[in-house]
Amino acid sequence: MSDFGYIVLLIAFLITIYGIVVSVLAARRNDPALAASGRNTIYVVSALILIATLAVVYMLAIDDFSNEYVASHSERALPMFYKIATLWGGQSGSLLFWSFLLAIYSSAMVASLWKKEPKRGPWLVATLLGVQLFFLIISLFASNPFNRLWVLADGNTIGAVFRPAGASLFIPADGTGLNPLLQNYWMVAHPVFLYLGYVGLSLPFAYATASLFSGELDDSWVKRVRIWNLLPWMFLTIGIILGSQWAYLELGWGGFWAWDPVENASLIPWLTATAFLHSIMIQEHRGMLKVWNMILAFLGFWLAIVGTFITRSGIIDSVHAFAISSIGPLFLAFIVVTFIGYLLLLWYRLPDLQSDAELDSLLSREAAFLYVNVLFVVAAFVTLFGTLFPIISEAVSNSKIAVNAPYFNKVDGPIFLGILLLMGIGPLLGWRRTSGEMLQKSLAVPVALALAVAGAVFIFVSRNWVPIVAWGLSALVLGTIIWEFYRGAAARHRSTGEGWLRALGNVMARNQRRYGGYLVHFGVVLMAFGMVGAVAFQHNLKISIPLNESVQLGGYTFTYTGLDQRKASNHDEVTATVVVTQGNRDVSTLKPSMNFYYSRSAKDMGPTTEVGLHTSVIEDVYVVLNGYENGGALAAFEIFVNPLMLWMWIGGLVMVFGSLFAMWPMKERVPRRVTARPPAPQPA
Amino acid sequence: MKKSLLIAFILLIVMAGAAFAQGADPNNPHDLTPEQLAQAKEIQTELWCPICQGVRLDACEQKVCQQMRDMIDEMLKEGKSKDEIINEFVDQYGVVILGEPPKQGINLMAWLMPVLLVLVGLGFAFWMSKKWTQKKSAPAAAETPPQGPGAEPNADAVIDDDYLARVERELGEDL
Amino acid sequence: MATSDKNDTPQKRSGRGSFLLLAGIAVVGVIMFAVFYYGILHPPSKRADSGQAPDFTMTTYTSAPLPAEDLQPALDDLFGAAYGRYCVNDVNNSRPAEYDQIDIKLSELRGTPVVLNFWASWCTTCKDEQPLLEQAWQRYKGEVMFLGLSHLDQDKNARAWLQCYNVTYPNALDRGGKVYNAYHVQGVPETFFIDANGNIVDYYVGAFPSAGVLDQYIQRMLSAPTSQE
Repeated sequence: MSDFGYIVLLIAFLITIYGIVVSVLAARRNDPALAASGRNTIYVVSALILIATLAVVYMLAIDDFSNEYVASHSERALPMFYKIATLWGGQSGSLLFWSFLLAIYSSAMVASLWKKEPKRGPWLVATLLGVQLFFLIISLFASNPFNRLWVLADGNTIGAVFRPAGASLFIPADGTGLNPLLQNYWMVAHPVFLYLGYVGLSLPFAYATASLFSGELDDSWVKRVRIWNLLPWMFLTIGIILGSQWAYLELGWGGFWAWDPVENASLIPWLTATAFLHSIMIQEHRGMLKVWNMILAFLGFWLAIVGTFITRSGIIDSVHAFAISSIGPLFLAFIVVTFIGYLLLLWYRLPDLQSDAELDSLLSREAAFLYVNVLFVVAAFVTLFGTLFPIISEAVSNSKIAVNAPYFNKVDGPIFLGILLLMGIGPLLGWRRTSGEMLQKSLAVPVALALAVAGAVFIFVSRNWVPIVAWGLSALVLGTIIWEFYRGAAARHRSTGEGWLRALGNVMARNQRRYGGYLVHFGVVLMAFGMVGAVAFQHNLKISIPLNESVQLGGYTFTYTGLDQRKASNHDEVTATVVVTQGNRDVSTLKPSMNFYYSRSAKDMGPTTEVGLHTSVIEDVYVVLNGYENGGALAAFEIFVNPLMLWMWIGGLVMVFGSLFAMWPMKERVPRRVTARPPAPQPA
Repeated sequence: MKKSLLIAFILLIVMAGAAFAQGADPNNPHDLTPEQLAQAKEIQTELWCPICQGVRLDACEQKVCQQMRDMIDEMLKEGKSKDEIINEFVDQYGVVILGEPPKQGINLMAWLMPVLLVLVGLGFAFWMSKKWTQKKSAPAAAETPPQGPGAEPNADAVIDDDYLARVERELGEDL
Repeated sequence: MATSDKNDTPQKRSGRGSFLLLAGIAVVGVIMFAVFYYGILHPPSKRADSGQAPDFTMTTYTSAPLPAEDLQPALDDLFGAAYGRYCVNDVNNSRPAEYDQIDIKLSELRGTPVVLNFWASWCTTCKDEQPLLEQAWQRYKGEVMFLGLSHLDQDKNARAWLQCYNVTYPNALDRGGKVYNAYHVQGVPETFFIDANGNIVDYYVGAFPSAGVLDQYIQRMLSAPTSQE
């Protein structure tokens, strides 16, 4: 099966090369027949990669331990569900999975755009296949999921696809097992969405590249690329949120975001993709920022690759880092080549990328977008810089430093607050310009709300400036959103005489993108609300409790009432029972546990913990079992009370819902460009 | 991985204090005063596990962290101040335990660079937008909102209708 | 408006900003490439595994035995109530006076091969190899120098540890982890073998599983062709 998969992948590789050559030729000669042939290779390559991926899945499912990947990432006792998810549990499998997602995305994008894009089409195919080629090279020659294990004549075991001279096949009795931390539903879903996000960012890049190559530089591409950016953006958002959920539920340290390099690697492209999401609107409406958009389309893709490089090449110390691996130099080469190539291409097309319009006023939506764009991109690079800083510091001073949460909170925090501020003001500004009088009028409600909230926090809750400012700004954004919904509904109510609710519904349905965007903003407000609450007002207590005794924290009483031991298929589970009460009220009975996995790799890591969690709209009660002694006469716990945590997850859901709302295919509408001064209102 | 070997024997260790010092409170083995306990907790939240990734000392289950916490307690009992204790830790364990680059030497760059990036970014945007707006010829730059033909008696209506019109127009739709 | 703008030399207008933007991005890119390239050449997981051993000076722990009121809790803490299983019979030993709080500079040991061991009192696997190291030291004393550096450690704990195993070769705290960083150690225990010329000839990651393995490494170090004097 291993050699079969490898050969299929090899064929895909050859066809990919063919497809690139043919597409470039077709574009140069303007030959539709050749172009169609190039397009068809995308489908063929996709089918072949699908087969290769299924081959790995099959080997995982049947415990084919002759395969190196299966042997080193799976084990017999693993439940089937996790066996299949092991496809993205290790390096070579996840890179093949990356190819697979790219194949699906490419096919979908090309199929949907082919008819509309006679000139960009072949270039689009060539670029997508170019990216695919890189991943196929990695899979075939550097990080091969189809390696088998061989015992050489000298007794050493190596991985190779085909039999090395004098070697015999080595089939271990069992695999070394999947990292127990990954044996969790969140962790199974999280990488899928993350990769859907990462890989999807290749699409705007490919579209931009196709536009640059073909010289079709009118603004039509930004309209059509929107969905191909929004979709990966949404997946990346989901992936990041699921990752936080996983960290929160599985790592047992009471937090949800550690600013670990791997987490940063997902946040960085998300930030630039968010910037792109906003700045294409300026080009769509005003024909401005063309060069900037070209850069952002590239940055999202490029930073996703850079992030993968950072976390997988072993250049930084990370618990998640795969051991120093051969893919590092290949990734670096790809990073450099794409960067230089793209910049040169952009340079060459610069004369054709003139703005159609100018900024009319600093008090305009495009100006606000411009600034928020800058903040997003700066946040991305600051985060990248902090992630890489240990290398710089070690190179210069040979001292090992750690760059953890306090640093990122301090440097990214203020930037995020700036973004919140612009989120509050920007939507109230009109395109081109807004009069001070009008801005004053629309800002009145949001600002009043912001001041009221900030004041209330100051008086009743805390003198800590973080929640005062963050919640105040969140309230500003919220006020803006409410004001916008109200204005839209009111205007329609007035002009059509529809009832308020109906007017709101109609105005939303007719302006999906605008109101979808506001819904996403609302989600961000909820997330900020929850996040700040959980970070600024967290209580925690590390404590050992004798059996049947209690401790107090944050108004709750925790009573440790027992310890049970249980065997599961591939681990032992030790579960404590902790009864949580508040005054006379029973809140919950929590069952935090420790899992002792049997597999070799897991034994090295020590036990994993499952937290006992009680969630409510006010706060989470979160108990971790850290140890026990004398059969449970005494147990060690870490107890957290995390205020408002739930709102973070709700906010995440709202963000996803908002982007779905904005994307949902209804009727294609072509926004008309605002090129001249808006005419006087003429309700027709 | 060796790092993980270190993690292996954590469980009983938490209790080690209780094991030998019969009668001692496992949650306050060093008999600190409540103020000292609060101070210990505060210091713990400012230091980081030196062998983990992003785990704060107060939430760390490693033996090395337990030793560090003991050391904090002992130094508090000796009457050392928070700053003295943190400096002693940096000296003995290295700057890793700060969890952020110290604000000196090359590591100062870690703190200046973000500020620089923000300034350059915003400065560039401001410079560009200034340049753009200055290009606008004066006569065209009359104030908005554009007043409809014949001033409306109801200013609210003007603004809101204008808003609706703008929303609809941006979408290329007529009502 | 768009058309009127086209008239006043668009090239110059939009050109400068775009040029600056591209130039800025290019600079950022080049800096990143430099960092990545350096990172690939010097990954944190790359030990100082050959060439001149980074020099250092260590100030050894005092040889005086810990007072009983400190020793007992420390032993209990490090080894549990059953510390007798690990420790020598008389844990109240004092260690050789010649290594009492002295400065030892690696480069001054030129002429003698050195076994440099990184360990910590909180390290579990170090417990298995410490007796092996001490035995080897007893065997090779005079021919080979043994140095122990405890990483992220504390005076009391480290001294209790040394007394427990009655370690007689010089040991010191690796203050601030400086030596650890210079050798790019990944975790304790880890052992470096430095020949008479001060070159690293080998290293061992993790605890030695047996006296034989340690012996093999020492023999290999001793028989290694000495590079030009």
